[in-house]
Amino acid sequence: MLGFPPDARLLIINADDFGMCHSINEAIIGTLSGPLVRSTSLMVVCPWALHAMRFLKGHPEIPFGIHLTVISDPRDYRWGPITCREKVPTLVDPSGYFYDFDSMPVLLAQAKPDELELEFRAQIETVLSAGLKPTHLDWHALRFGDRRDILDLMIRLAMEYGLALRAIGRDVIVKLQNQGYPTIDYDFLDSYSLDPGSKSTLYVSLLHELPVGLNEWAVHPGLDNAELLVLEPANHHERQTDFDFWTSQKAKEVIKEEGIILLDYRPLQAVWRDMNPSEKLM
Amino acid sequence: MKIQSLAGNWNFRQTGTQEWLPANVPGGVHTDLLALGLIPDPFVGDNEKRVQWVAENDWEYFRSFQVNPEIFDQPQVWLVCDGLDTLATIYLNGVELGHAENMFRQYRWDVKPLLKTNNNELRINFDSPVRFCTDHQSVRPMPGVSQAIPGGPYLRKAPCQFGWDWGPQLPPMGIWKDIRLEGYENARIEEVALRQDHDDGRVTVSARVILHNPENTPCSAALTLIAPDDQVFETSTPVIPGVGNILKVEVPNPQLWWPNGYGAQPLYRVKVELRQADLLLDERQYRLGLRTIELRQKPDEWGISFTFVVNGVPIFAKGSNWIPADSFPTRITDAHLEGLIRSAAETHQNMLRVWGGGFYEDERFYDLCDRYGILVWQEFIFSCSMYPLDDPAFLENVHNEVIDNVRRLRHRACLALWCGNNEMEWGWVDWGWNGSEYQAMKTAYDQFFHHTLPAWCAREDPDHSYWPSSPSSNTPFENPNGQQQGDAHYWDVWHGRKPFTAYRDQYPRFMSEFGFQALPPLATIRTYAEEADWNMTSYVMEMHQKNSSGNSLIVGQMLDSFRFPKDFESLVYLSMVLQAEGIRYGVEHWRRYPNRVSGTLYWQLNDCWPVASWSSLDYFDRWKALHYAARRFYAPVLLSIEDKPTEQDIHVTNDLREPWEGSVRWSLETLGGRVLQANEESVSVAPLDVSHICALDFSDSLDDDLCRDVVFIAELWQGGKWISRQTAYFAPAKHLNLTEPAISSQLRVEQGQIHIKLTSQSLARLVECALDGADVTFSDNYFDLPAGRSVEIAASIPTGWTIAQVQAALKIRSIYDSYAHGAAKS
Repeated sequence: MLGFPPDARLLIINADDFGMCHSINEAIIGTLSGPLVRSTSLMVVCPWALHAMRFLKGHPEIPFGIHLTVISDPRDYRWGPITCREKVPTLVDPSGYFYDFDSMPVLLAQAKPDELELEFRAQIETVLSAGLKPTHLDWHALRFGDRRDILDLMIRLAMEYGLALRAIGRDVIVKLQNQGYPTIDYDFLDSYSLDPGSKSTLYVSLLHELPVGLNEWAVHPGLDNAELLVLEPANHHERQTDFDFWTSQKAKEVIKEEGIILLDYRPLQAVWRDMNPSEKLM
Repeated sequence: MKIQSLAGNWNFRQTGTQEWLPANVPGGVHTDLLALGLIPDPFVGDNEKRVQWVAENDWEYFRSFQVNPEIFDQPQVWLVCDGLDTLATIYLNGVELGHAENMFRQYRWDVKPLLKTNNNELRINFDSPVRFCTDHQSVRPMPGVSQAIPGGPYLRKAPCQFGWDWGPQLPPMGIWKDIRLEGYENARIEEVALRQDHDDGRVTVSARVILHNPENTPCSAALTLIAPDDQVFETSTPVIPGVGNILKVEVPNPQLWWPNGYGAQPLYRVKVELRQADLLLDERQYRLGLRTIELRQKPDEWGISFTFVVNGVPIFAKGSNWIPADSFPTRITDAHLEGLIRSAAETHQNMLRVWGGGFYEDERFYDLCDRYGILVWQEFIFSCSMYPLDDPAFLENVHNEVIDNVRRLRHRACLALWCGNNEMEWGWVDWGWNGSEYQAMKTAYDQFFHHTLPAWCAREDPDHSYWPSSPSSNTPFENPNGQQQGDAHYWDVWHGRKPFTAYRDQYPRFMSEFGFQALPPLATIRTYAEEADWNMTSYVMEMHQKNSSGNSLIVGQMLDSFRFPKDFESLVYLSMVLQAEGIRYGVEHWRRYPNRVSGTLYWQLNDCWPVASWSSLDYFDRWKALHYAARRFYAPVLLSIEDKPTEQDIHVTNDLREPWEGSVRWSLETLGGRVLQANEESVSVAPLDVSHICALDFSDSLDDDLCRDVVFIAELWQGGKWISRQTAYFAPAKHLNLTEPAISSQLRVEQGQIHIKLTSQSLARLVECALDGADVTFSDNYFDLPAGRSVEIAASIPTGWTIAQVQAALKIRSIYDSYAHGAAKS
C-alpha cells in the first residue's frame, strides 16, 4: 500500500510518553537526534508537555503523534483531563486526576463514550492550536478489554482529523487496510513487555526475526536520574535500557545488516488525510 | 484450554416451518434430508434437478446444551465455529452473536457473558446461497462459469458447489466443520508461526508465539521438538505481547523430508505450550517435515525455468489436479480421503494442485500429503470468473480468509506454492472479458493478485513462493499460457478436438492442466443409470456429463483410435483406455524433456460425484485405466518410445538422485509373435536426466500391409530383471489385424494376495482384468500383452473369497473384444 516491495520489512520505532517528565523528554530528544527513533508521541496532559511541544515547534521535521491519555500512572506525580472535571466525571478518580494503572477496570467500567470523546478532542485540539502538525494518534497505557468502542472512537477521530492511527487487533487492522487505510500489519511491540535485564539481546533477536510488512515498536526512552528514580522507583531501568539500546552502535548495525527499512507515520498519514470521510464504512 | 464439543445431534427445519427434525453436525441440509428420506439421492438419475429447491430456501439449526462446569468456570469462554456454510446468523440464548459469510473462515465469539450452566440455546440460521448469488448477479452481472448457478463469485463459498463442467449444482448449507466451546484462563495462543532455517546440514526450528492476552498476564512459552527417533529438543521463554517471542531449537543431524520417490518422509512432532507458572494455559501440536523448498525461475535457453527444488534437488513434479472429494464434503471419510491420496502416491505422484474452484482442504488432507510425500500447489479459492475485488467489505472478508488459511497451512512440509487463482488471468486475456464495462474490475484484479495478495502472503508466510494465477507467465496479462515462462494449461486436445499427437508440439515450462475425459467404470455407472439408460447419449448419461458435448468428444476421438464398440460395456472400456493412452502420450513426451519441462499435473485426480469426467479415480475411488497408466508413465525410471512411424526412438528418463544403468531389449515382431528384428542396447542415465537410447528406422522392413501386422516392443532390464515394457505400432489400433488373443490365466494365492499370470497367444492390446462382483485394485491393468509373453499381476483377495471363486469371477478383456467381428455379430 505504501509502495514498498511485498517482502519489505518496515519498522516504525516510536518513542512514547514525550512530555511526561523532564528526564523522559531529555532521553527522547536524545534518541530523536540519532538515526533510529524517528517518531514520538506527545502526552499533552502531562506536566512537561510544554517543554516537549516547544521542542517539536522548533523541529517541525520531526514527526510525532498524540498519545491520548486517560491513565495517570505514577502514584505521587499526577495528571488529569484538559477538559474541566465537571464535564468528564467518569474519567477522574475522587482526587480529580485520571485513574492509575491498577484502577483501569474502574475506568473501563464507568467511562462514558461522550466524555472520552470530549477529552480526546481537547487533547487533539490543544496540539493543533499550538500550531503543531501531528501525524497520528496512539494512546497511553490503555488496555481496551471489552471497550472496543474506545478504539472505534479513536478510529473515528483519526479519520476526522486526517491523522493515521496505531491500530491494534487483527480484525481492526484487516478492516482498516481493506478500506484503504494503511496501518501497521501486526500489534505493536511494547518495550515494557521486555525484561530489562536481557532487553538488548532480545531487541537484537527480534530485529533479526522482524516479520515482513510494517511493524511498530513502542519504545520508552528515559534517563535514570533523580527525577525518574522517584517517579518510577520500581521499574526505572525500563526506560534507561531503551535509551541505551536505541542510541547504540549495535542497533544501527543490526538494522543495516537486516535491511530493515525505518519509517515514521508520515506516509501513512498522507493516505489517511486524503481519504474522503464520507465514504468511510466504519 | 478446555474444550466442549457442540457437534453431534442437532435439530433443523426449513425456515417458516414448525417441526424440528433431527440433524447431524458437522453436516448439511442435503445430507440431513437424505438421512430422513425426505429427498431422493441427488447423485442418482436426474435427482440433482429435483432437489434444487433445498438451497433456494432458508434453513435453521438448533440445539440446547449445558456447559461443563470446568468450562463454565473459565475466565474466558468462546464459541468457535471452524466452518459455517455460508450465510449464517448465530444466536445464543436469544442474543445475536454475529453474522458469518465465508465458509473458509473460522469464526469465534466471546460468549462468557451469555452462558448459563443449563438450557443454553444455540441457533444458527442459514440464508439461501442461491438467492444471495442470484440477487447480486442481477444487480451487477459478471461473466462466470456457464455450467454454474450465476453469481457464485459474490459469495465466499466453494465455487464448484454451484456447478462445474464435472460437478452438479448442489450448493450445500450448514455447519460443515467442528463447532465447540473453548474455555481459557486469561491468555491463549493466538498464533504460532513455525519456520525452519537450514544451514550447512543443521536445521533451526523456530516458533513465533503470539498471544491473545488482553490482561497482559505474564506467561512463558515452551517449544518441544521430538524427532522420529524420539530424540527431544526443547526450549522455553517468557512471551512478549504484540510481536510475540521466538523460540528456537537446533537440530544438528536433521532427517530430511522428501517428496514421494525422492526419499523418505520423516515427520517431527512439535508442541508449543503456553504456561502461567505451572498452569498450562494452551497448547498447539504439529507434525513438521524438515526440508527446503523453492520455486526456481532462472533464465535459460528456452525462457525462464519453473522448477520446484526441494533440499537443493530439482523435482520433476508428477501429479494431478485435486477437486473436492464429495459435493457434500462433510461425508468425506478418513478412509475415502486416505484412499485417494494413497492412490496418488502409489502411482508415483508427488504433487497435487488444490485447484482454486474447490475449497482449502482440512487438516486430514495436508496430514496425508505430509505423510505420503505429496507436494501441494495450493490455490486461493478464486476460479474462472470475475470477483467483486473492488468492494472493500468483500476484500476484508477475503483478507481474513487468507490470514486464517495461510497461518493454518504455512508450516506444512507438503506446501509448495501459494497460487492466486485458477484461470482468471487467462480469462482477462482470452475469454472476452476485456469490455469497457469491466475495466474497473480488471484494475481491481490487477491490484489484488499482483500487489495485495502477494503482500499478504509475504507477510504471513515469507517461506513459500507466490504465483499470481494458473496459468500465468508472471507478467500481468502477457501471454499467460505461453511456453517460455510460467505454467500452462493445454486444452486443445479436449476442447479443441486436436489429436493426442498435438501434445508433442507443446513444450511448457510446467504443465499444470491438461486432460481427457472417460466414463467411470460400469460398476459406478450402475449407481446412477438404469440399464435402460446405458447409452452414451441417453438423458441420464448426459445428466452425468457436465461438459457440453463431452460425450460426443469422447466418441469422436475414440473412433479415431478404435473400432466402433460393439456394446455399451465396450464403450465404457474404450473410453477409459482412450483417456489413458492420451494422457500417457503427453506425459511421456514431456518427461523426455526434464530440463525444459519441470512438471505435469493432469486434470484431474478425483471426482465429487459419479460422472463422466477427466478423473483417473472415480467417486468411489475406483481406478480408471488412466490411473493404472499413471503408475507406469510416472515411474521414477521411465522407458518411453517416441513413435514417429516408421521410426521408433527409445528414451529412458531417470528421476532418481543416482545414476541408472541397465539395458533395453527391443524387437520388431508380428502380432503373432514372430521376431523380425531384435537387439539389446545398454542404458546409462545420469541422475535427474534423460537418455536417448536409439533411433530405429524400419521404413525398409515395412510396407503398407505389414504395418498393420507388427508391433515394436521395448523392454527395460536391469541385472537380469525385467523392469518395464513399452509397445508402439505403425498403424492406429483400429486398423491392426488383431486376432483372438486367447489369454490364459494361472492363479495362485500368496500372503493374502491373488497372483494372476496372464499369457496371450497373439498380441492383446490394453488388457483389462476385473473380478465380477468385487472391487479390487490390481498391481497393473490395461496393458499390452505381446504374444508368448507372460505378465503376472496381483491384488488383495476379496474377503472370504476362494481361489475358485476368483477364477470364476475373473473377466479378461482386450481391444479385440471391444468390437464386433463380422456382420453376423453386429
